[in-house]
Amino acid sequence: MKDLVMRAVNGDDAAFTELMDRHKIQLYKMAYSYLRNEDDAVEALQEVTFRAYRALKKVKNPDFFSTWLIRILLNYCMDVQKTKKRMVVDAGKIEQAAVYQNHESIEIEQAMKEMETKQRELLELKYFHELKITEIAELWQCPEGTVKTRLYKALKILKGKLEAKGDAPHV
Amino acid sequence: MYEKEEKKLRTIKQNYDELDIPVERLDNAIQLGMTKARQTARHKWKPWLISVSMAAILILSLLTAIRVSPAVASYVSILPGMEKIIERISTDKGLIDAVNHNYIQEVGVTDEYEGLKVTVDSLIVDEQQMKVFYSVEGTPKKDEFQIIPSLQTLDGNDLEASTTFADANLEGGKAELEATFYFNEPHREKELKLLLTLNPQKHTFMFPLKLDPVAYEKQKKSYPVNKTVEVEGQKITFKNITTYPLRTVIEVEFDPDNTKKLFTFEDLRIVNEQGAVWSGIKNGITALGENDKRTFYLESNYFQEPEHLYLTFTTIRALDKDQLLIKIDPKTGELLQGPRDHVIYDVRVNKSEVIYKVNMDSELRYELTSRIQNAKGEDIYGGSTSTHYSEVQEVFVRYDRKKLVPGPVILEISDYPTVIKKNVKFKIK
Repeated sequence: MKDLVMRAVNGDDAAFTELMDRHKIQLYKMAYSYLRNEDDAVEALQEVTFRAYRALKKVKNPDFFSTWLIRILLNYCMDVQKTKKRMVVDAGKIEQAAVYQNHESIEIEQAMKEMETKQRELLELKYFHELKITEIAELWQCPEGTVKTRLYKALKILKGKLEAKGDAPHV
Repeated sequence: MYEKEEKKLRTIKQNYDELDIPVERLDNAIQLGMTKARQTARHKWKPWLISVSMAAILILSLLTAIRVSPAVASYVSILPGMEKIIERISTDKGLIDAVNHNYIQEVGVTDEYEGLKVTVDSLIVDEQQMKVFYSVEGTPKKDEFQIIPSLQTLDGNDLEASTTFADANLEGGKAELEATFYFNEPHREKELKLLLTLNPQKHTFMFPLKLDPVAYEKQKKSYPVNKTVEVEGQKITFKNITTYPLRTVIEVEFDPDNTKKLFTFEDLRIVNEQGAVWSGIKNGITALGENDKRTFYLESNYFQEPEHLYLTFTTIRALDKDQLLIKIDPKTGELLQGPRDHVIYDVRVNKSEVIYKVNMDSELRYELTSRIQNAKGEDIYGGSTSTHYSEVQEVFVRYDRKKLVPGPVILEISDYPTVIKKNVKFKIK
């Protein structure tokens, strides 16, 4: 992939298309988890392609191209969510119910909704999108140790919230 | 410690794994994102932008760098303080002549907003166009910004004009810019407002201008010509030639019965009895019109008093009228009709674009195609962009997928490197 990245950075459009092709499903799923519907997630992919293509020259380390793309996507999703929050009251719940049939997922997602954005994002990246700790560290530009500490803290908070929701603790 | 929570989180992951992936839409999104980016990248790459309000095709010749010729250097010593302006117009002999005849007005007015200083240095104007030289200094709050020039009459209406201007690039803290307004009608206003709008801040710098339209009205020299010449069987009639202080306008008609479509002259020029040459505009609008009635623009010799003037050319880009359409099967990408000389090759069609490569020796880069139609002949054009890398020029012509009907997509050739030749020279004065 390193070679592809280098070629793309040097202006090879075919290489860039190939890279986007390899990342499209992961990026789409991520966008979907934030934006909750197909149209917005497809649009997100288009926007990420646009922003990435324009900023290709800024890719410093080809090894982290994937994380670089994810960062662009997350920034975009955050922006969209901010505007959406102002527009939509709580349409999310309805769509969510349509996607997740099982009760347990609704419960956990509900608990996550109440968490701080950064903590929720961490759980999503780690467990929904299976990013490695090193990748998240690169994404956030912080030491791996910090990611691990934050992860435990997030899990602890999640546990607390689930228990408060009547998920009785095991004695 | 948190195995149970982790397990629950992982079950949600399964939901994402089971998510329907609209692969086709994703591929399309990638293509669209790239096309959009290419378009923007192209505007960044070329320092000139154009906003077109005339209902006609404009042909622009674009320069990326300005060189100062030795001839220019000698003028500089004559006119202290004018070096910078001369540098900016050094590709146009007529404009340098105008400056040397003091046909330029010093302005030197400055305005400031959020640490950005904008100065209108000077301007030069005739009945047909106005060139404004301005500079921008400072460190704007936003990295990416644009300054868009426009003209308004005193009552706040936009003055209709095609405008060319450079993108402000503030590397080094200062940018020297110029804008040219090509008026749709000869302007008659005594006062105008020059607006420089800063985007995205939406701040507008306003500079009032006082003008003397009565003087402009007299400042032209007309040469009625009405001369028809024939080049390889194609008839061309030169109607009128008018010289204004800033450019010479040549009105031409091509015979509708010509078997070839004539695109443009490669070397149309005016010479005097001593061999001095005024050639095509290199930086700005070079021609106007697209069918048989055309207007070409040359450097001005308004300030000269030649005894005789001659119009001369040798080469015209042209193509047989029955070769003008390129037909492609959108399903297979097969070239069904079109020139087979490999100038245009590797034609492909995807869901939203026709893509082709161009093989041209010429350093001149011009767009080879303009319109794109469906098999019914309806316009389905959605803009076009081109990229150059490793000496290959690749052109992307977008089309509106919804308007596609069964049958070929049709590209129309609007310029082509095949030529017809004849040494033509005739007297106009």
